[in-house]
Amino acid sequence: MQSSFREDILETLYKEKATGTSTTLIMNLATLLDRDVGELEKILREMEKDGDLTISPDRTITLTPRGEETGGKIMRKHRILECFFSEMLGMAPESAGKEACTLEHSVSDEAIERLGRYIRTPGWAGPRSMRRGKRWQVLTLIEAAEGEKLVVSCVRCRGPGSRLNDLGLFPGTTIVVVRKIPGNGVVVRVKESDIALSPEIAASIIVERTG
Amino acid sequence: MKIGLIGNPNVGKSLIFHQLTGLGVEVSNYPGTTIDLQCGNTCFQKEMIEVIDLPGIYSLEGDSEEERTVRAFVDSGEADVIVAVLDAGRLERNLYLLLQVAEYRRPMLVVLNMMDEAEKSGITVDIGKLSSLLGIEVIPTVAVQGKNTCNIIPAVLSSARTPTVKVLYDHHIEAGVKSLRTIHTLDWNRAIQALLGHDEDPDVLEAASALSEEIERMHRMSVAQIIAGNRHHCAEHIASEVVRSQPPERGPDIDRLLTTRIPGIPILAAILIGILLTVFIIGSWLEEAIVTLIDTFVLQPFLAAGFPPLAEQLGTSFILAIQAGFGIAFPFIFTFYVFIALLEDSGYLTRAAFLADRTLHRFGMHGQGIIPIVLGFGCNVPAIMSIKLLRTKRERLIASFLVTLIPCSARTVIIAGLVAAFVGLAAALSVYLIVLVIIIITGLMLSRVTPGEQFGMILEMSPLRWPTAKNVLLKSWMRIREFLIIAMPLLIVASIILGLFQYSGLMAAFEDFIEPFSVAVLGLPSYATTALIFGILRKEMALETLVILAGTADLGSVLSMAQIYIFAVVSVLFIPCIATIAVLKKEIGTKMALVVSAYTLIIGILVGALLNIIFS
Repeated sequence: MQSSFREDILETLYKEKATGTSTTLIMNLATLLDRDVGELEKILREMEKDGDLTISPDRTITLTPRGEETGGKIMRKHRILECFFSEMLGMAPESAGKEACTLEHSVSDEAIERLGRYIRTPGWAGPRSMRRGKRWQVLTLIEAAEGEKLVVSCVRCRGPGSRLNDLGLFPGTTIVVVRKIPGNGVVVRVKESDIALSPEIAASIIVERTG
Repeated sequence: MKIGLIGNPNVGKSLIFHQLTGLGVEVSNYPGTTIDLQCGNTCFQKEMIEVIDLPGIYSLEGDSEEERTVRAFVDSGEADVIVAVLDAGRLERNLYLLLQVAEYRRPMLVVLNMMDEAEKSGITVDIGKLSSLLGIEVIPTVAVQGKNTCNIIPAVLSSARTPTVKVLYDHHIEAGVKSLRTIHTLDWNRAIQALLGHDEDPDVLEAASALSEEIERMHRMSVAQIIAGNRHHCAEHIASEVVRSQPPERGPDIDRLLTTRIPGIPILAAILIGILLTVFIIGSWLEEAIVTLIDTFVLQPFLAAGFPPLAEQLGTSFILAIQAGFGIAFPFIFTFYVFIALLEDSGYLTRAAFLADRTLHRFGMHGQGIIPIVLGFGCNVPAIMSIKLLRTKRERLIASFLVTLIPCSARTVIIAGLVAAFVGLAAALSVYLIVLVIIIITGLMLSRVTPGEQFGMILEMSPLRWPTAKNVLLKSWMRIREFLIIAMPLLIVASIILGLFQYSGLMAAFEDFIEPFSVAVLGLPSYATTALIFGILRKEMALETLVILAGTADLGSVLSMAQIYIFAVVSVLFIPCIATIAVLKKEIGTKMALVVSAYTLIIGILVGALLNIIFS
């Protein structure tokens, strides 16, 4: 439990840092983690010894590069697990978050890496709620605007779909929308060549905005 | 020795083929398919080498007929050497097919074509490194200028090798291949093919499909997608090792003008109408010259020679058939082919297809359908031959109905020579309007009733380039030759049969038989019906026969305006000409060819009868 709590601390500090607060007071951290200040300080001192963070005389905490790396990794694990539970398994967001909080400490790097890839690969249509998310903006090719650079995330097209594979239009490929006539399909650049697609084909290709 | 040329569409493969073999090319069907393969011979150091130009494909593993044909060809080991033609400017995509072919472990050679275009767009390819990565010889060429193509044959003879390149597959795929190979004794490539669902042995297929289902469940990705992904990854890796590219200087974006709604669509309409008018003007002028020439120098002397009646009839029919063939083939079809080749070589045709996609959707077709439709205005025969381009049977069926209804140049001759001359220009245009309405109704109806799934268009836009005169003429010549080979024998046979009918008096009996029907339903004299039947041979022969049978060129004096109008509409609509029926049979089968012919016959008579009721 000790080590998972330590990871929670690093994760919280990392999140704080990502939102713009470069230093955090021990007091604030205690409220964020819902812990007793004295107990927390004891652990923080230990962590300082291990080189995860530094505590300045005015009781503010700063992450060392090492601590930052661990914190970042834990946060990514949390996000992926949470996304998997809520978006793919259909759990309620709160319980998904809680489940992610426990699992994030024990899941291996490889499993997370694979799970992340799995979430982004086909079969997964990209639920609407994800479009509002910051990191992944999922849309169909027909919704993309001219000139946009996109990554293919899923091809739902049956039948002529194998032709798309052959042309290189399959999950993971970066494409650029060269031309779009409203209601009349799109031309995309894939691997240096321009491919014209009918609207119904474009609508079956799900892409992500990279920017 | 036999070599096969393989490559993506639009890589200059056919051009290389023609440079290797010259003009003595034979077009033949590959056994069991309707795909035409071009074969030619070349001689090098006293060895006869047969070169086969395979259809352009993106993959060896699809289900289209071209892909199956090429797969069967590669698999059979018929070719001693396979020459893969790649586009230097799109190396990565082209390598994908090469990697597939390489898995068959046959001696190969790579021709890296279009080096000039690649250079222009700032791309350089490290030939030596590519060669060592693939394990086969790579020859850079610029086929349009004939640069370095002479080195292909010597290289085939001296340094064709089995490629050493190997795609790294996902471990699940590798495991699947391994277990397939332990259950059934298969070679590596056949096991991969079986996983993709291509094998003849049902036992193997069953085992493979169980495995691929398992893999699909694990990856949530189809086996085909995983394998394609692995191959693309390998291609990407090779390309990144050998290709250096700098962003090219951007010229004015002509493409933008051509592929936006405004001015793209007006430009498309202007180009199409311009072509039709030009072909019509040049065509009718040339046709008249050719027909007069054959008339004065062949037909008249022949008739003057005084042969016995039967021989004379047969001879006349034969000469008429030749006249019909050349009178249509060269003036109209050849001119039309030249324009189509120009559109094709310049890359405009793919843009036209993109623009037309939406409109053609309503008729159950796709952008590519514009090619047969445009061709149809020139001549239905090449138009029907081009419906091969359409991927599904459903599209091909709809296209063949619509194309046979399109007024080809021969029917335009009737409309112009009969309606415009004797009734008036507005009436002539109204004939077009009637045909157009019928085509639209037929299309809308067929798109509803024709069975089969409708898929969208996936079409590579070929880059815009300047066409060269030599290549355009060469292409047009190859096509007109194909047309003559199909149409000429038919015209001769049909013409002789009709001649015999006339000679034996059967024709007169038929006229007597048809007279009541002809007068009652269409309001036409019986000789006009005979003229209509001659129209089956060659559409505008209906007009010529009518003039002969009426005994005067001033048709206005023997027929009423209504009769002239009805005659023109019926001859435009009813039964496609004999050559069209023949290609219909070849492309969509005897049964459907008969259905199409019957449909046009019914439509023609119905509209004729309706007009007769309205006018009287």
